[in-house]
Amino acid sequence: MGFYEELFAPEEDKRNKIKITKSLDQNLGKVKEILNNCDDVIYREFSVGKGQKLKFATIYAEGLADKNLVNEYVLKNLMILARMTDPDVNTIREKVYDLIKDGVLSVSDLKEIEDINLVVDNILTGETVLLIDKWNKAIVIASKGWPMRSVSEPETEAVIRGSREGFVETMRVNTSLVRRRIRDPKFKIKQMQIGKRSKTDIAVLFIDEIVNKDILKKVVRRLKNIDIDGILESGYIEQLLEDNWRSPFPQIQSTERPEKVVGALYEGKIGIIVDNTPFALIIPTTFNSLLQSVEDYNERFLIGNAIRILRYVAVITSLFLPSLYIAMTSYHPGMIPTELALYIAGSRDGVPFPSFIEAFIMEFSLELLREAGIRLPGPIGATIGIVGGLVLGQAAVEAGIVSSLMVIIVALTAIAAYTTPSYSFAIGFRLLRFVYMGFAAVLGLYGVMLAFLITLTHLCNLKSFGVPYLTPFNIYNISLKDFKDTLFKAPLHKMKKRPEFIAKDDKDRLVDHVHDNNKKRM
Amino acid sequence: MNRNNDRITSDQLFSVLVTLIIGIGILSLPRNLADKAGPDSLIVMVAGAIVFGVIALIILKLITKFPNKTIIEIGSSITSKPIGTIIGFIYLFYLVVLIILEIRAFGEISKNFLLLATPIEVIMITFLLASVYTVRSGIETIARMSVLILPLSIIPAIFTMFFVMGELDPSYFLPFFHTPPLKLIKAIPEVAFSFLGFEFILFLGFFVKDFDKIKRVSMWSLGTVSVIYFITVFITIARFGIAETKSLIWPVVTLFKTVEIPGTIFENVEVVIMSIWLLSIFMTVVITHFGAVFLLSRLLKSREHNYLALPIIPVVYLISLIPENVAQVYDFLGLFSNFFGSISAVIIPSFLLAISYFKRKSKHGRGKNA
Repeated sequence: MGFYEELFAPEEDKRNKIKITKSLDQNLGKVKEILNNCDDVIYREFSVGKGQKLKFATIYAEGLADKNLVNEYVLKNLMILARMTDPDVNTIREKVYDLIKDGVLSVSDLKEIEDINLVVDNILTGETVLLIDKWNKAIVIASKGWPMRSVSEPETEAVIRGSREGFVETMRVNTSLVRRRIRDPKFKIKQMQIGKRSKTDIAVLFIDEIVNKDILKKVVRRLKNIDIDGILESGYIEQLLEDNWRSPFPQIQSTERPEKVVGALYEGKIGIIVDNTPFALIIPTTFNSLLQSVEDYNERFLIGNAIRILRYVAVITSLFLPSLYIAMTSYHPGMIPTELALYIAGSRDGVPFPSFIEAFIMEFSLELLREAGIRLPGPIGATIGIVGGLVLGQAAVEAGIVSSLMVIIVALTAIAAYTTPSYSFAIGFRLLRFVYMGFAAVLGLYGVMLAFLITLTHLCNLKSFGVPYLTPFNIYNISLKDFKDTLFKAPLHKMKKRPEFIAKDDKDRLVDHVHDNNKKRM
Repeated sequence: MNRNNDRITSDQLFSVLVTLIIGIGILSLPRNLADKAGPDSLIVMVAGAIVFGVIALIILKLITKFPNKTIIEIGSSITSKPIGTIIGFIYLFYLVVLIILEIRAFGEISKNFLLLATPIEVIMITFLLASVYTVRSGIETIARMSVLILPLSIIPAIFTMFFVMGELDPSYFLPFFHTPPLKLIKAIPEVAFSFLGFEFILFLGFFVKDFDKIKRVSMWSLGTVSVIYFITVFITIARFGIAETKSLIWPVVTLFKTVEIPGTIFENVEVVIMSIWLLSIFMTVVITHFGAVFLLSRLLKSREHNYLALPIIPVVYLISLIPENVAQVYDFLGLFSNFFGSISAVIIPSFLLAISYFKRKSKHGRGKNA
């Protein structure tokens, strides 16, 4: 058994095996007993053959199985076409199974099973089960087909240049979106089911030879350890898998974009696709990768870099700006140039609150607006933005509750926070911002630095599946190889290696692409 | 849960050592030098670095004989177990007093430049609690942090120093060798002691993964510190002159106070620099704190050291409040570093090294006779 087979070996079925007997009625009775009161399951019994002597039954769940397929390619074939041939009943007795399997059912995927429990499982996943009288096996016909959302542009991660495809709620479609981008047989999709009751399908995606096997082992082990009744969204998996649940930072990246998963796979990371959600997970995740957007790679060197740096600046701004403002106005007014200090004092004239309360009021109302905007349907959400942002802000300044400079600070912070590509990452910073503001209010600049040191300690301590969260910022690599895709992005033809802290085996990405060759060919 | 495995690389050790050594000493080093050596400060600076280099070689010779051992184990195996324990206690005491002095000096400086009205007790206790949090995270986290903080704290400082270049007057250093040689030699320890912190390698070596590189890495870190010290001393004295430098408590901070970066939004750069320096002093305190906790856990023979981080805080806090003013703190610091520094960095290592040589020789001798 190979490494992966062993790793992904399914756990033994602990349920008592219920053998399928030779009597159709008995089998049907057992299935009906297990699935009693499940009114969405359809049983269709029928007879086949010249003398209508062979009894058959199909069972499927309505809505999950493709009714058309069952009618056209299973029932029709069995009931009508099978009658056209003239079977010699005596010879057919033993071979009926082979005949049906090989000659009658015009369906591409068939399985045979012997356990009633598996029959039930298959029905509930949307397959159609065919039971035959006097035969102690059941045929499973792949007939999954339920209404699904078509592939559309992901709403949470919009890009200007890049694919417009986003994941949907069906795992199979999602894996196909990834497979279409990696036509390498080394790209593996391993499936498992998690959830005692929900039996949610989960696909673990990785590229053999590139993937870091230690991390893969850890991921699969943790996945197998999950014993929960139901998985509703990949967020469940994320929370059950992550190293530190107290952290405000996501240790597993979630994305709606197939090419983001593909990019991660090429770096030796692991993707997890969960059924019923368009959000795929990427493991391991570092601080750095959460600030990368797929667009950075599609854009040319200089532009990509400028945007990348802008984003880092934005993150720092969104975290520090309000707290620095509080610290400077209330503790270190000497730091601000005199004219500006006078202006600030002038604009704060008449404001009844200390700057911390002022900042807190504004930040809090901004969070309210943001939350309200999400809950409201699209067009109204925009209205809320205008009402809240413009009207409320203006009115607050005129009423003398907040200073106009404070409005600028808070607005700038909010805009900066929106530039973070990862939503869950941005939330972490939002939360921290309030903590920083508190520290700044009590201890000034010293408090901000203290909060920063505590955050830094936490970030340095944090690991995502054994990979330090701040890699590569705090591992030494004198040749700076791992820095090629951080604050700055090296030109694509210079990024010849995969990140070394993840990929251990096949490290080469790009083999000696010499730009001069392009010029010569001109 | 995924626990850290408490191993650091030699490259990380480099950052740990540099951030550790450049702690508090750097702020007052120019004053001490100007006071003791006058115009010959730079010569003494170089000489002091060389002297400490020799001390470092002794320490390195000792620990490379015992890879991944702490000073307690080294002491025990060279002499005997009780003596090893005593040595451990000496270092523990040394480290605890170091934290006390560091935290007090830090409190004074922050109070002076950052928080004029806040009581020093609040500053110190919040700082110590933050340190507890970091120490509890283990050496791996500390090492990763120092790698990040080293450039963060040094690059802005050096960048700022460039803006005083125009106002420098190197003639303050002339004439050379004006001070009597005896006085110069007496000034050398002053520099050597500003390298204290290096002896932490006696127990930090325990954590180093690639131990074979430790010698090269630690000499590199000494070199880096020397260069930073040299630049600082040069710029400070060339900016203020001998007489003025002598009279300033923290000449380097005053240096930043005089800097005016054209076109910045901040008027007083020294507040910014102080907050950045805060990062580096935090690392110094954290590493000292970690060292003390680690040695204590070794002496108590406990495998975990996390839980010991908090209990030593009240002791440190209360004692650190004893000195009445800054001058006393610096007096203590000077006295203490002269006395305990020389014991822990020079006397014990060379003593142990000598004994180990002697022992090996006598063993050889016996071997031949038999």
